[in-house]
Amino acid sequence: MNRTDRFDDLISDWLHADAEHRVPEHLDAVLRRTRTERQHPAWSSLQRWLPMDTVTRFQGRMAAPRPLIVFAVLVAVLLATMGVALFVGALRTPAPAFGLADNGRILVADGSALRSYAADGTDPIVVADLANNASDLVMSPDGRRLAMIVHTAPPTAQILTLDGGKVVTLPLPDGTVDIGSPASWSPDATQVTFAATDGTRDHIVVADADGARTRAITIQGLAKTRYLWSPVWSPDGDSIAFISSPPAAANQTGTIHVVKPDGTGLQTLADLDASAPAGISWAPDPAVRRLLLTRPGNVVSLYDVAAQKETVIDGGFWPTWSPDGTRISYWTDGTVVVSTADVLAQRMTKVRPYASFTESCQTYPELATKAFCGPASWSPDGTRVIAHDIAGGSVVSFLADGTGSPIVIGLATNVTDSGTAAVWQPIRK
Amino acid sequence: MTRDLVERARRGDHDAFAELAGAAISRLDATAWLMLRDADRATDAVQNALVRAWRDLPTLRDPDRFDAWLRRLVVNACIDEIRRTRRSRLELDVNDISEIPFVADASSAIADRDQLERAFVRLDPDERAVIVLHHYLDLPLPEVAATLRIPLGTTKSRLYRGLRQMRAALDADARPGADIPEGRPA
Repeated sequence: MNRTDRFDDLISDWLHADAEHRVPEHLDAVLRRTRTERQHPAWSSLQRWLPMDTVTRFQGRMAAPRPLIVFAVLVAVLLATMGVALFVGALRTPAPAFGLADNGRILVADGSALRSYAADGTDPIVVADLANNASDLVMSPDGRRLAMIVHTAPPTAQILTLDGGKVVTLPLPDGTVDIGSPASWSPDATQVTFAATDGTRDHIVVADADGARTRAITIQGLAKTRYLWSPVWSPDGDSIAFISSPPAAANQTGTIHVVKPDGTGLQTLADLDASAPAGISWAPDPAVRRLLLTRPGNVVSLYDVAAQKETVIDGGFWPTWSPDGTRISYWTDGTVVVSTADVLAQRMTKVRPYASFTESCQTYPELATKAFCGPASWSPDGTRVIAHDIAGGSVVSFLADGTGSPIVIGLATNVTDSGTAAVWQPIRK
Repeated sequence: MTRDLVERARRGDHDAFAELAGAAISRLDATAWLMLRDADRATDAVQNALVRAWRDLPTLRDPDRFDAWLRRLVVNACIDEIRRTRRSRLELDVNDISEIPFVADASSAIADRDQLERAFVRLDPDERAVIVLHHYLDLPLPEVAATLRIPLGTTKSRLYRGLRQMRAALDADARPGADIPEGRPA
């Protein structure tokens, strides 16, 4: 027996001798306590799911929590909760902008300058120089940025940040020779889509609004030779509607399609020809999937994509939605405004914000500053419609219900095309 | 037999639990006493562990592990009790050794017991647990490791460290001149 063995024996002997006198007399006390205690169900204890040692030690230490530790734990839990809330909030996609908003400033492409006016037409400010002329202004849903087509060679799509005036030119797919439509914003205002062509085939382009990335989406199931027109982003952000037409179509009529932004899920709205250059527009309410379109022969029509049902509105063109989708404006012998509900109920009452006229705009020079000659843009609060006037020398703002006097904003340069030269900035709270 | 009792106790049979507790309480009580060196706290630790065992018995996954599970409840209760006592800077209430009966002889036995007592209470609770489980309950080291849910290597090192400290304490007490009055050169 070596020294270590002897020492081990000494310890063992000591422990056994030390324990010998223990005659526990508290078994009855224990059993009295347990007899009145209810057992935990098998599933209820952490011991069922976690290592036993962890649980018993944890329970032992929680028996007498110290106030400082309790306070520290509460603070830690509070901070963790705040952190998680901030993290989740940062990840959450902002709700699509929809509905009425306060009227911000009016922006007008006036020759070589982008000007901004207060809602009442006063306080003109030059926001940016437009050396190459710009058209097709489209305000982002959040009212912070403006998309426009600048007529360089080839044309470029640009994004102007209204606060600070920073301009980003969106990169285009290789070989692009022309841009074929105004930009349409995604509802979260992070991307735009527009049509472009490389001279041999058309593309639907999706670009990040900060210019970081641009791509021509490959639309699965659609012949590559078709012309592509007027892509518009749905208010729920899930799809893009556009028109395609065969290259040989003389009257530029085409078929309406809906596709996911990644190019999959192509849906063709069969037997629904549309005037391709007139374009289409989604109802602003994400809950209703309705499109406004112009049928060949200048017929304004409302199409319910989900129900696959068409409601013809009237003979005319240039249809636009009010910000909350409750009214529709279009042009038929001048601009008219109708209620969407009345259209669907087929009991339509037309409101004319100004005097009607027939034939072409140019034949009525006396109506300058008194009537539109283009698609009407709605004020964010839904009370007014604006567009360039019949002679192109001003922007005119009318009350949509046809009352009151127009506000006239004089332009330095006549607007000669029917593209959107004036847009209204929404102020969302 | 034990498995049958455990199964019955898990289903709420209190008589079965009473039988299990009666069979185990002596060793559990001795284990708690050896670790805590305080009769009242040892009694409390054992009672609380048995009450918890009754409450949580339905959650025990393997009835064959009942003995080890119960031992672990008591040992962990003791370890927590020692740590709590140290945190609150309470002095351990070491029993008067004259109350403790011992078998044979000798003044040397009294001296050894006293020295062992003093050395043992200086150990960490984890080291005490390993020594008691191994040298009193005679559990092999793998079983000690399983009871305490620690690796075997850790068990060995705690045992080695604990015994070394106790031996050092004994050696120091036995060294010539250890009781030299203060102020004199060694």
